[in-house]
Formats: sequence, structure tokens, C-alpha cells
Amino acid sequence: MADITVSREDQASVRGRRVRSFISLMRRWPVSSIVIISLLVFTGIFAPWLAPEPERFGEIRNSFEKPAILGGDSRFILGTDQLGRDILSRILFGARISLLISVIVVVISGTFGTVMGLISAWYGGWVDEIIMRLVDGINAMPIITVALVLAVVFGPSFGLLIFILAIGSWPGYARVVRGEALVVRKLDYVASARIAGASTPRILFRHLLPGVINVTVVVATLSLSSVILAEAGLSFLGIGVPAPTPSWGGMVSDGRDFLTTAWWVSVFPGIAIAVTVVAFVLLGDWLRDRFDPRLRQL
Amino acid sequence: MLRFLIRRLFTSLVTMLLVVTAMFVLTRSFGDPRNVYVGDAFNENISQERWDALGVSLGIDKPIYVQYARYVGRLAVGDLGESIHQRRPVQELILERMPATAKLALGGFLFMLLMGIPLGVLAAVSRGGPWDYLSRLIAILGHSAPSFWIAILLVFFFGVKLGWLPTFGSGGIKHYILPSITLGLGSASGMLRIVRSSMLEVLDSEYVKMARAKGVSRKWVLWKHALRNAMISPLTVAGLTLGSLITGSVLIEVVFAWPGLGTLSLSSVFNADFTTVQGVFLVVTLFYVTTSFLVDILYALVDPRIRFS
Repeated sequence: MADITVSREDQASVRGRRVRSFISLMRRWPVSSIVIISLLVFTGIFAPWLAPEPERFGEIRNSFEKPAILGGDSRFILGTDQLGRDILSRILFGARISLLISVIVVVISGTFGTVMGLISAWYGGWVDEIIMRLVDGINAMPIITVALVLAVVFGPSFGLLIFILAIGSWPGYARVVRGEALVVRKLDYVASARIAGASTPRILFRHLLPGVINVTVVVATLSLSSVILAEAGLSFLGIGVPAPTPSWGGMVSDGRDFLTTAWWVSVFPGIAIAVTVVAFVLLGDWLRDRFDPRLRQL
Repeated sequence: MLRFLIRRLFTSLVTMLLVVTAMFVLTRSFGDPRNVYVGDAFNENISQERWDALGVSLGIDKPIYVQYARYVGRLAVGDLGESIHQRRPVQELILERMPATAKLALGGFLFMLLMGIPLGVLAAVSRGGPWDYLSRLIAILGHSAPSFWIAILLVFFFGVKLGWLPTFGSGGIKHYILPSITLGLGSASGMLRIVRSSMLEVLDSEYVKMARAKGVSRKWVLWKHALRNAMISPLTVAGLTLGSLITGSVLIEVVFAWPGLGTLSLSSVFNADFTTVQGVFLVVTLFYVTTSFLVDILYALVDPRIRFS
């Protein structure tokens, strides 16, 4: 009898330890973010093989099919939209578009912003003044209205969408990188490099850049989430991703007129946006705390 | 202070001038600016007289610097041109729609304060407790879920399912509830975090401990001593969000068919009505630049360190 009690206690303590180590793992690593983002990247890359139905075509007779999880046609797990297109397939392809656009935007704006920040910090004086006033000026411009203006002049397109989002996000990098580079620039090793006769580009990219790359990565992760949100907003307005290509924002907009009869058309893509953004925000927060707690106020 | 004021005013003016210049370059980047002003949808059905009249009013027979001076001069006196589509002055159209957007932004602002401040205080007081977690959850959701989607969910539940609230258009006070909540939610989550951290800082200060030690009640210390001092930075930030509330309202207006600047601007995009879109853009940007100017001044008055940095 006594033996059994002891072994139960042992089991309980083992389970307790496991739970505790699981919690500390969750605290130390943003596990949920990493899982969600890996899933997204996976579905984004393999969308054509994963999607059960074609994403751009449907049959009208299948329109507004209920989600299978609520007792609809078993072919359409998340139901269909007004044109009979499978919502799940469109969400999978939407992940591809959303991630592709945001990654391109982050790479372009991150590179440009970082270079501008380095130049601003290195040269100082009127160069710094001009770049920083430009940064202020762009921050003072509401990005959605800029997008509206450019859409009326050029018409919505992928190129324009990427341009607008990149224009809106490079100042974030420039400002943070400049602040960081101003500190690094005064360090002894930079002075030594200068005395040794290193050229300006060499100092900027070989000596300053490694010192500021941490903050660039943090800003990039945080900015991924806001770029995804902005892209969704513009696509929702009809001035983002052009029509037949599935985008999450556009899908939410598609379902707007059918809320009474088919709520799933809008609701599921919205969940996809929210979950993705949360994942990137949490990952960004974690990276920020890990790399540089001083950035907390960002 | 005066030096700071002048410097800041100068920056605002330069920003505005840059925006206007960028606009001018944009219209002239296709050669004949009429191609931009008239847009593809109208190219075929606009009469020759109107086409010529537009050319005269834009001054395209004059050298480019005269065109630029004329463009800036007109905007400076508030002449935003005539809408090609609606055949009315754009400033008239904007003035018509402005009150609706302003009221909506005000509604969102109120919601932000009503939700952000109490929740922020609660979160700070019960640090690590259930309120803190709840407010953290709300902050993350408010920050991450797209506003237009939240708007649709609210319309679905409160408008369609329950039938409690109207789901589109403006009208009585009931019409404001859903749009204001959706618009304010994002800013409320930011507000909440600022109030929380500011409150935590103040609660940790010597004079709060002193007051408690003197035997002042917990409630009194909280609401009277701590909150007042903790509100300085949140309130200045609140001023700044007014600008983003105006632009954020574009998305919300579209969902609720709100007769404001956002819907005007978007419908003008689809009508290829460049003059109107440009007008709304310039007005909104001016508002944005002005609020950030005022907030900076306010901030400098409150915190002298800003003035000298």
C-alpha cells in the first residue's frame, strides 16, 4: 500500500517538473510564434500542393457552401465564397502573397533605411539634417492617403503596392540605425580603421554595419507585422493586391456584402491576418528584449 | 522656448512644402498634367472645351516654374481646384464630408480614453494579476487584428445577429457606437500600455510611498496622487493619435458606409477623380502635420528637456 503511494507522489513530481520545464521553455523561446511562422512559410511555399481546390476558379453552383466543420460539403473545409471558390485554398495562397510582399518590402526598406541611417550618422551636418527631415516628412504623411493618391494616378499593381509599403517603412530603420551608429562611430576601433586608411564605404559596411545589424533585425521583425497589416488594409480597400490573386484583405472585403448569409467568407481570412500579425509581434518583442532591451520604448 | 517654437514651425512648413512639391512633380511626371487630372475613365467623354479650359487653368502654356508658383499659390489660399467628376470645387466637397469624419474621430478618441486609461490603471495596480493579463491580451489583439475585420465582426454580431445597433450610415448616437469602438480599439491598446508603464513608474516613486506611509488610503493615493502625475505622457500621446484616427477612419468609413472623407476619397479613386483625392490627401496631411506640431509644443511645455535637445 505504502509503495503505491510513494510511486504516485513520484509520478506527480515528475509531471510537475515536466509542466514547469515546459512553461520555462515557452517563456525562454517564443514557441507559439515560431510554430505559427514556420507553418505559414511552409504553406506559403507549398500552397500549390497543399491547396485542395484551385484558388482562382470555382463553380458557381458551389457558391456559399457551408464550412465542412459546420456540416457543409466535405470538400470545402472552410466553405466557399460567392464564386464557389474554396476559402481554405485561397487562405493558403493568400499566405504566399502576404509573406512574399512583406518580405520583399522588408528587404528593400531595411536595406535602404539602414544605409540612409549609416550615412546620416557618419556624415552628420547638413546630410544628417536633410535625411532626418525627410524621415520626419514621411512619418508625417498618412500612408493610406498616399496610397490612394498613387492608386488614382498609376492604378493598383504589385509594383506600386511594394513601393508604397517600402516608402512608408524605411524611415523606421533609418532613425533607429542612425541612433545606434552615432554611438558605434565614436568607438576606438572605428577611429583605428580610419587611421589605417580605410575608405568611407569600407568603414560604413565593414565596421559600422556589424554594430547596428542587431537593431535592424529587430526593427525588421516588428515591421513585418505592420507591413502585413498595411497590405491587408490596402487590399481590403481594393488598392492593394490586384483582383483575381487571393489576398487576405481582399477576401475579407469580398465577404462584406454577404455577412447575413455567409459570414465565413470574411471571418476566416481575418483570423489568418490576426494570427500572423500576433506571431510576428510576439517574435519581434522577444528579439527586441533579447538583443537590445533599450529599444523597449519603440 | 521661442527658438524651439520657430524651429518646429519651420520644420512643419518645410514638410508641407515638400508634400505639395511631390504632388506637383507627380502631376507633371506624365508630360501633360491633364492626363493625370482627367484620368482614363474620362479621356474619351470630356469635351474639347473642358479639356482646353483645364489646360488654361493649369497654365500649361506657361513655363514650368510659373506653373509651380501658380499651383502652390492656389493651394496656399485654400483653392483645391474643381472635381472633374462632380464638377464642383473640391474644398466644397471636403467641407461637406469633414464633419462626419471629425465626429467619428472624436468618437474613437473618447473610446480610446474610456477604455485605455481605466484598463491601464487596473493593469498597473494588479501587476502580474488577472487584470494585467487581460489588458495585455486586449493590447495584443487591438494591435494585431485588422480594424476593418473587427468592424465586420461587430457588424455581424451586434447588427446582424442581435439587431441591437445600426450597421451603416450616420445618424443618431447609436450609429456612432460600432464605428467609434472599431476606430478607437487600436489606439486604446497603445494608450493602455503607456498608462500602465507610466502608472507603474509613479506608483514606485517616493512621494506615493510617503503618502501611503502617512496613512492616506490606498484609493485616494491611487486616484489623487498617482494618476494625475501618471497622465502627463499618456495625454500628450493621446493628442498625437488624433491625427492617426483621422486617417484610420478611411478603412472604418468604408465598412460602415460612413459619409466622411474616407469614402469620398475612395470613391474618387474609382472614379479616377484625381483633384478630389489630391484635395483630401492635402487636407489630411495638413491636419496631421498641425497636430504633431501642437503636440510637440505641448510636450515641450510639460517637459523642458525636449526644448534643449
